[in-house]
Amino acid sequence: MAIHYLAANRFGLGRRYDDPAPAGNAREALIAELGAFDPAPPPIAALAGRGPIAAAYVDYREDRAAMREAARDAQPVDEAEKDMPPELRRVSRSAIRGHYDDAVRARLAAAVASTTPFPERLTHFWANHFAVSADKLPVIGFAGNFEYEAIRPHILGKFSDLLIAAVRHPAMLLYLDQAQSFGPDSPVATRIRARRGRPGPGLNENLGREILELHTLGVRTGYTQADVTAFAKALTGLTVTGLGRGAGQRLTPADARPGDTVFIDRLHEPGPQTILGRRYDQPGAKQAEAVLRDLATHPATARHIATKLARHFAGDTPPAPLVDRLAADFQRTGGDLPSLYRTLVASPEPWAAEPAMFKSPWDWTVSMLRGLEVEAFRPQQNVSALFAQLGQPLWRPGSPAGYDDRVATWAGAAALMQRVELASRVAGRIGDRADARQLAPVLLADALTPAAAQAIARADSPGQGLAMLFASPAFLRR
Amino acid sequence: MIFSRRTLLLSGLTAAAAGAMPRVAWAAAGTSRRLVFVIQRGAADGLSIVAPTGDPAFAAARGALAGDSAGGAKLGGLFTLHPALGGAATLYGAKQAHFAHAVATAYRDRSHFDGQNVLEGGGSRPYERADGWIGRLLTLLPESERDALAVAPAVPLALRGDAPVATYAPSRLPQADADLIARLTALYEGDTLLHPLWESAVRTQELASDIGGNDGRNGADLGTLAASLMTPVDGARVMMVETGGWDTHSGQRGRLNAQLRGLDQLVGALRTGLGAAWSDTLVIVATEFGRTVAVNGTGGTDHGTGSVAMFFGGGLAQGGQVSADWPGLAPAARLDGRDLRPTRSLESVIAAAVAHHYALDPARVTKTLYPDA
Repeated sequence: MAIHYLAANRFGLGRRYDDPAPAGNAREALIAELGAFDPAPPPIAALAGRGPIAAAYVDYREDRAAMREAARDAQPVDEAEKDMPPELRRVSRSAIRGHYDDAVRARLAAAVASTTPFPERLTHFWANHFAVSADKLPVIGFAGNFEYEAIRPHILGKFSDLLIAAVRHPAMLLYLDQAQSFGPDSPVATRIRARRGRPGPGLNENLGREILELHTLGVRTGYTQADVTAFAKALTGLTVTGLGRGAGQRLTPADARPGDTVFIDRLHEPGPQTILGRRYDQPGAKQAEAVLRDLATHPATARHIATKLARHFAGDTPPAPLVDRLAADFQRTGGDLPSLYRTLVASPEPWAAEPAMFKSPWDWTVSMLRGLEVEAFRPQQNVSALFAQLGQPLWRPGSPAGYDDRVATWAGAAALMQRVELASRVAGRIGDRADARQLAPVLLADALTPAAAQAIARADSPGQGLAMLFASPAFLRR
Repeated sequence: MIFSRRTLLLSGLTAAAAGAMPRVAWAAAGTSRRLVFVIQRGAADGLSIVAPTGDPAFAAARGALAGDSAGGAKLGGLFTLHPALGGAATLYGAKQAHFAHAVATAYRDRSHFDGQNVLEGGGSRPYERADGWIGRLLTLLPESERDALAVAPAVPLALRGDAPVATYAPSRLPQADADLIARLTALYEGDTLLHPLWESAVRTQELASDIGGNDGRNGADLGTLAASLMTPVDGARVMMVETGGWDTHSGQRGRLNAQLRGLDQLVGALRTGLGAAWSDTLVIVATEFGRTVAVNGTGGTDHGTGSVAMFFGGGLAQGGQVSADWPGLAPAARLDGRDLRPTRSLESVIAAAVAHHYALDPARVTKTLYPDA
């Protein structure tokens, strides 16, 4: 059993070139990483906060509004005016885009340098579980901030706190349309309806439904449309300020800054709600929080989370005993995440050689960079574009379900050729500044097969050897 | 003039006709003969390469692509050679080129990989045979003419068989270099996940590699390389050259033009490079199937059936001719209402050309190359 290889790749992000020779108890070392995890390592701590991200978005919207004005008023337009709008668009978009690119670079830098790759991987796992997707414009700038402020600081606490942090982050509220949801009988909606004499703004069920289906209970676990509607009503009032969209910007509390998550009581649907047979009559924001806390410890949630975690660490069809064990642990502790991780590491199933998982483009690239002492890419390499090319643009899975976590998701013919081409390009750049023969036993540890070692040793150049190492079967898997 | 089903030329080239010829002594000649098989992977559009401009239905059927043959050499009253094939037109004038039209293998579906498998394997169904028609041909040849080589990273199916076959892959092949690809192919050999993925990826890359690049000079380089591997005394006598990029679903006009310019230069460089040996050389150019008669919505054509096969060399039986049992392009004449209906089997055309080239008994050649025919 290649226990050190599995500890480093299945649980971690691949061994670093300067990692000491594996020794000691691999399981204990993984658990020790949980205690040493830094929620805000330097590359992440250096990033802009929600304020500048929101400001960039506001600038963009204002520029776009100005463009619309200009388009309406400017007849005739002179040459200078004609040229202005696209330029404005480019500038303002690039500010949003800049926040996204900065966040991608920080994620990569933190992952490559990490001395606690197991909780680092867990952060990526949870960010994908609570997926936001940067194909919605307001989400682009906030996507990285979502992972760094809502997910990362909460992966070692209770699942309920992680859930609430994820749901309350502006990226999630904007992505799943909560920011525009009005209680149908809230004071604001009622007033608008009376004034206009026709139906006013109303409920948006998107977030409520996805919390039930994706974040907590799981699809087809017995909740009904009435539960979804009642939950969506309980969530009303929760919105994002100062972004020029969403419910009742004029009702924003005086002390709120753009990009803040706020609860506005006058948008909230009054009265009790009944969800999954339980009546919630808490006032205001406390109502949705009570629902979320109950959902977070529901037996269906325990099973849903146990299944996803087991799949991530034990293969496409997670072994039933592992799922049962994790679900029981989740229920016993009320969703204590460190306890769940300890049970996972102590279980035999994730330590089986088969089935092996196929690294995602992210996993594979990170592990390659961790293995190299010299820079793999030119400083001007566009990292965001690289992951898009490899088929896994960061924080842009295109759906609130996140990227599917199965072998077939990533193991495709073209994807394999792309990796070989990238490995070849990186290796060509590095040439003989790294020795694959010496590196292979360091990176693949106890999973280096004689065939792979021989194939690498017989390469016709140091660069080819490196490419072979990164394209070797053990390196492609985890 | 009625073209539908009109037989323009039908003599020694088909197996049926060859079988009817008087039996003669099929002695091995003393000179060293050479065979080059150029595979066009991706389904080359025979209706653009040798355009049946004299068919009354042609202009209407081909729509936007009908004009592509403008300026091309007239090959009799019915056909016009694509203008990018200027070198081939000269060879045709010198009776060193022959085009067999409306031909297809036994395969009638429209998958590239399956179609190429039948074209190369010579079976009647995909994956029927583990060896290829050239591999089996080698067993009929005298030892001095049996040295076979593929300009490819691995031995293509057409060349597989009992006789050893060498491969040569120029390192300038596109993307990840061919040597790395070959080494990874070996490394993934026993891997049940990676092996099939990799095989498919490599095959796709071959499909995408194109001879038309660099203003056709890639084709010339390939032809020069192939000739240089065939000219030495101990050089190859049977060769297979891979070409890809024929899958013109969109923007066919420009892409096919570049492809054909590359092919024209490839054949030209072969002739130049082989020198005097050209008179004892047969070049066969064939594709897995043709393309639709109608143009699709993106200026291209989709997978079809009948296409054209090309033969070049100094000693062709029917140099300077187009052979076709022409079915016509009118909608009712088409196969499934969409494709050029094949009226002769590509297998029989190839077998007849090979039998003539090596002066072998056509029946024996057919039986060996295409045992299931």
